[in-house]
Order: sequence, then C-alpha cells, then structure tokens
Amino acid sequence: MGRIAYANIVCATRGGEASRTTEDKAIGIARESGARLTFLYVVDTSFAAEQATSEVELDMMATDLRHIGELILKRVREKAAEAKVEAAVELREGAVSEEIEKYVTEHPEVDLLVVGHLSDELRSHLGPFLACLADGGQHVLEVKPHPE
Amino acid sequence: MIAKRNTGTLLIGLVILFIGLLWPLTAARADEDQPLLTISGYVRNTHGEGIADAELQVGMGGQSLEPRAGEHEVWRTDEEGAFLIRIPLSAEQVADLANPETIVTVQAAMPTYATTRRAIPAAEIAQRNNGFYTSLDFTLVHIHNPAFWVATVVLLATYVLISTEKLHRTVVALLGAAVLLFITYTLGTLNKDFFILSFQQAIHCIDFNVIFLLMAMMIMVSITARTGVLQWLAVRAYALAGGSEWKMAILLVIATAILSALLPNVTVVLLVVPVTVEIAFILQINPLPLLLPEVFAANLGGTATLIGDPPNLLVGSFAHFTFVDFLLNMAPAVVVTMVALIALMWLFYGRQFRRVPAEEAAALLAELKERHQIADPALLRKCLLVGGAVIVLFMVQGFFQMEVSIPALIGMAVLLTWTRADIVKELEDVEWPSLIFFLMLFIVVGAAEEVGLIQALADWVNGIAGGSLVVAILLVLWVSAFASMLIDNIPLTATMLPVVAFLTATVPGAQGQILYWALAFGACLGGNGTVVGASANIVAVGLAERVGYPITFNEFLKKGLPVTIATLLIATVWLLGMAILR
Repeated sequence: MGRIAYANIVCATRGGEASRTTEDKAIGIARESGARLTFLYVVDTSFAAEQATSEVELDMMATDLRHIGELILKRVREKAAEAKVEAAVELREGAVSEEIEKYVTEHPEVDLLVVGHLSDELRSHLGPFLACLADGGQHVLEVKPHPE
Repeated sequence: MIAKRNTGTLLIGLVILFIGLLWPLTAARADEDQPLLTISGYVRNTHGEGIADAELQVGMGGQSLEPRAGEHEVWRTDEEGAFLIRIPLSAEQVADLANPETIVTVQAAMPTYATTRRAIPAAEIAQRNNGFYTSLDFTLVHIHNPAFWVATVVLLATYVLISTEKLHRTVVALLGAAVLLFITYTLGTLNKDFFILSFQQAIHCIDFNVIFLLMAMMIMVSITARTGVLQWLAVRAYALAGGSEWKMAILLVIATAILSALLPNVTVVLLVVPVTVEIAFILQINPLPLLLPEVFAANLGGTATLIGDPPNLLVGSFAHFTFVDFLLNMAPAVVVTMVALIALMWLFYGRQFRRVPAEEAAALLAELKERHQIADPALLRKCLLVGGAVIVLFMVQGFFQMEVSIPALIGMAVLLTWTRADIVKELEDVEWPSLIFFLMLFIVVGAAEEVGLIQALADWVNGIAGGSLVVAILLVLWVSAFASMLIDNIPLTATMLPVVAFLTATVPGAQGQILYWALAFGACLGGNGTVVGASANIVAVGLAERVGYPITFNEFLKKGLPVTIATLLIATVWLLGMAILR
C-alpha cells in the first residue's frame, strides 16, 4: 500500500515540549508530500474564566497568551523552514476544539489534520467532529508523544 | 379674627400634646404600683454560648402567665441569650406567691433544642418592697431532630458538589441555602422539628465584613491591574536577575509572594505567570521550573496577611484579628516558608537553571520592556496613593476599632471618585458569583451551627484533643491542611471557625487565640498540596496546559506535597513556639 500524498495539512499545536513530536510529524509529512502546511494555535482562556476575579484580568491574560502564541508560531515556522518546508500560521481565539473545527470547516481543501495526544476533555468535544472528517474522506492523525 | 382663631387652635393642640405626653407616664405609674414578678437569666447552649430568640413561658399554679398587654406576644432572649421577664401580679397571684408551696415554672424553647422546663418553689423567690425577684439560667441541649439531619445533609452535599465540581460552587451554595429556608418555612411551619433557621437568623449568619472587603478589593484590584503594573514588576525581576535564570526564579517567586500578600492569588498568577511563560519561551527553556514555584509562592504570600487569602479573611473577621495581628503572627513564619520554598526549588530544578548569554539577555529585556510598559502612569500613581493609604488604615485599624472592610470601602470610594471610573463598568468587573457564594455559604454553615452539628463536631474534636493544647494545634493545623488539599478551603474554614472558637474557650492555654492561627496556616498552606487545593493552582495548570506543558495531578503532587509538608512543619514549629512563649 503506497503512502497517501496530501496537499493541505493543518497542524494544531500548543507549542510546548509535548507538541514537538506532533510538529515534527506534520513537517515530515508535508515535506514528503510537498503539501502546504499550516500551523494553528488557539488562544483559549476558558480555563481561568471561573477563577478570575475580573474581566480585565482575563483580557490582559488573553493579550499575553496571544503574544505567546505568536512566539510559538514563529518558532514552528522557523523549524519548518529549517526542514525546507514553507509553513503558514494561523492564530485564533476561543475554545480549542471549536476553533480547530471551525478552521477545518472553513478550509475544506484541508486533507490532513495533525493533532497531538488529545486529553479526555478535548476528545469528548472534538471526537465526533474527527469521526465526521474521516467519513468525509479527510484524514486525522493523532500523534502520541515519545515516551520519556 | 384670624389671629384669634389661630391662637385657639394652637392652645387646643398644646393641650392634646400635653395629655398625649402625660398619658404613658400615668399608665406607667399605675403599672409601677402593681406588684411585679421579675425573672431574669440566660439561655445558653452546652458550649456556654447564648441562644438568641429563645422563647420563654412562665406558669404558676397550673396557669400560664402572659406578658403585659401591648408589650409583646411572648418573651424572648436577646442577642446574648439574656432574658428579663416582668409580670404584673394580681392580688390573688401575690397571695399565691406568699405560699411557700407554690411552684413557678419557666420553660425555655428553641427549635433544634430540647425544650427545658424549670420549677422554682415560691420559697426561693425573693420579695422586696412591692416585687418578687428570681434568677435562673438554662442550658439547652441540641436534639437530633429532622432539622439537624436536613442541615447535615445539605452541608455534606454542599461539600461533595463543590469538591466534585458537578455544579458551580455558587449554584451549590445557593441551592443549599434555598433548601434550608424552604424547608424551614414549609415543613418547619407545620412541625417545629423541621425548623432549621429563620430568615432573620440566616441574615445574621452573614459576615458582611467579609463581603464588603471582598467587593472593595475586587474593584480596587481591577482598576490597578489595568495599569499593567504586575507584568511590569515581573519584567523588573528579570532585569534585576542580570541574565541568571536561578536569580530570576528567586526574584520572581519573591515578587509573586509579596504581590499575593496584598492582592488575590489568582490575580497575581493570571497576570505574572504569562510573563514568566513568555520569558521561558523566548529563552527556549521549560517554563515549569519557574511556573510551579511561582504558584507555590502565590499561595504562601497569601498566607501572610489578612487580605491575602479568603480563609485568612474569614478567620480575621470571625476572631476580630487586625491586619497587624496577621503581620505579627503569620508573616514571620511565611518568610521562613519562602526560604524553604527556594531551597526546594533548587532541589527540584537547580540543575536546569543556566546563565543566559549577555547579548541574549539584553535583547530579551529590551523586548520585554517594550511589551510590558505601564499602560497608564497617571492611573497607577492614583492607585498607589490610594492603595498606600488603605494599607496605612489597615495598620491603624485596630487602634480605631475599625472593621477591616472599612479601609477597603474608603479606598474603593476614593479611587472610583478620583479616577472618575464608570461605576457601572466597574461593578461589572466585581466577581458577583464569588460574593454570592460567600453569602450563601454563611447561611449553609450558619444552619449547621443552629442545629448543633458544628457543636457536635467541636465536641468530637475536643474529645480527641483531650484538653491538650499541643494536640489541638497539631490537629487543627494538619487536618485543615490535608482537607484543604482536596476540598475548597473557604467552606472548610467557615465550618472550622466555630469549632476552633469552642476549642479556644475550652482547651487550657488556647485562650491566646493560637488555634485560629493554626487554622489560617492549615487552610492556606494546604492549598499547595494538590492541583485542586487552590484556585491559583487550577489557573496555573490550565495556563501551562494551553502552552503545551500539561501538568498531571500526580506531577503537581510530586512537587506540591513536599512543599506543603515542609511549610507545615515550619508552621508547626512556629505555632508551638508561640504556645510556649505565651
């Protein structure tokens, strides 16, 4: 069975060490396929909504997270460039699962979605959509991190 | 003609007024002439606390004696549990009292307590001038009636639902308070065994000192936070480190602890930790060796002051401790715990810290300085002036016998006026769910106290302590700390306060309020043990997860538990030292 050649790959990254394997995998596939690669980072402040004492704090934290997101996307683009892959980047704000779903829906040309190991919470939100993608002929690759 | 008519009207008015003023005096004089039976005393619970609003009934020779007409329907105890009954006697009743065989009965009744009746032989009633006098005290015993079980189930359910996060904690507390009042005013009206607490009692349970302080602090912090001063301070810490990651880590934890002593821990973590993560990302290092100690420092810093952490606020308001009391009794030990934290930080991560090359450090500093400037220097100046004045007022709060919320309310009012802030917008920034949570929680815990559950718990703890102050200190400190690791420390502290009050009154040597300090240490320091131990932990772990450094429950525990145990050991030594020196 031959390898599938992809044309448009989206890689959702969180930027940390846990995402390095996912990013590398996406870059590797994009290089092999000659596919267009886009890295997606979502600024999600929902985890703090209950604990924050004011909207001001949440807004300020969102600004900082946005900047961190930009740093992450800059780093992955450089990493892709080192591997001779030209990557686009996309920064979004909202719930992670919803934004991934929205992005892929808005870009039907995406034929491979690469994600890191999904937490139970993320899987419960994103699971049905990923199953739907598979039915529609798009592919999903969940990359497990390397054991330490 | 008109003038004459006016004078006449005025005279008639004056006569009516004179009669009106004189009438009660004449009536009173008539009453004074009538012989009176005066009964005074206290109604207390088994812990010696006065029971307010207890109902008293008096009988003589099988007949019920009623209050004077127009006075009130029934006799009740006041806020302190004291009562004073004055009954006008007929000639026949005076004759009865002259007979030593006559028995006067007094009955004290209160929902959730066993009704108690006392008989006083007339021979024991003193007669002086035209009156009869006696005094007696009641000790009412709680009964485990349906009201007791309902309040117990509601309190336990509140704990379980808050801990499992099945519902928002505010909804849980609201539901609990609503159930208690609903049962009181439906089943409790039909059958007194279901009477848990009245609406007036529920309102009385609320500590408005806590509510006002929280509200005022929320508004002041919200205005101050938007100046960007917290992030600016984090950048200053990095600048001071001069490229040494280890120095930077130390400075960041110290800055976080100091800020957390004056601001909510969550606010500090929300605003300082992202800057730390940003620094780590630019330096391409793992942010966790910086982030986790920062969260621990936030919880430790909050332990130092009255306004640093909600459990301290509850303890301070309940025990009438001042801001200075906290600085003297908590802050020195917290400084030592910070040293321990820094030592543990070296033990956990020491090898990971390196020196950033000078060029890289300078470039990063320039970038950080550009991004994290003070957004509004004029606003910051006002905030610092008002904040400084509030702290000065906190310092002299004890001298003026001022509740701790008052300086905060003054600060809030001045800051809102001076900055011409949009009050509607500012009020939107108040975290109302938290305030409502506190309001409702006070009612739920108050109900548990009304029905005797807290007293039963206090008796149980007292039995374990066996009258030993050392055991009591260890018990309160360590049990509240370990409980705080798993359950919300706010309801825990609210529940423990009446228990500690009882222990303070009964355990020899505890009268120096030391057990309250043990509770404050336990509830705050326990927060570092687990991810769910404190809100600041949840925020930091969420933030780490969002930037690709997920922290599992066990990973947090591996670092948090040693920190908790080390800091608890320091607190133990500190408290035992206090107990010995006092």
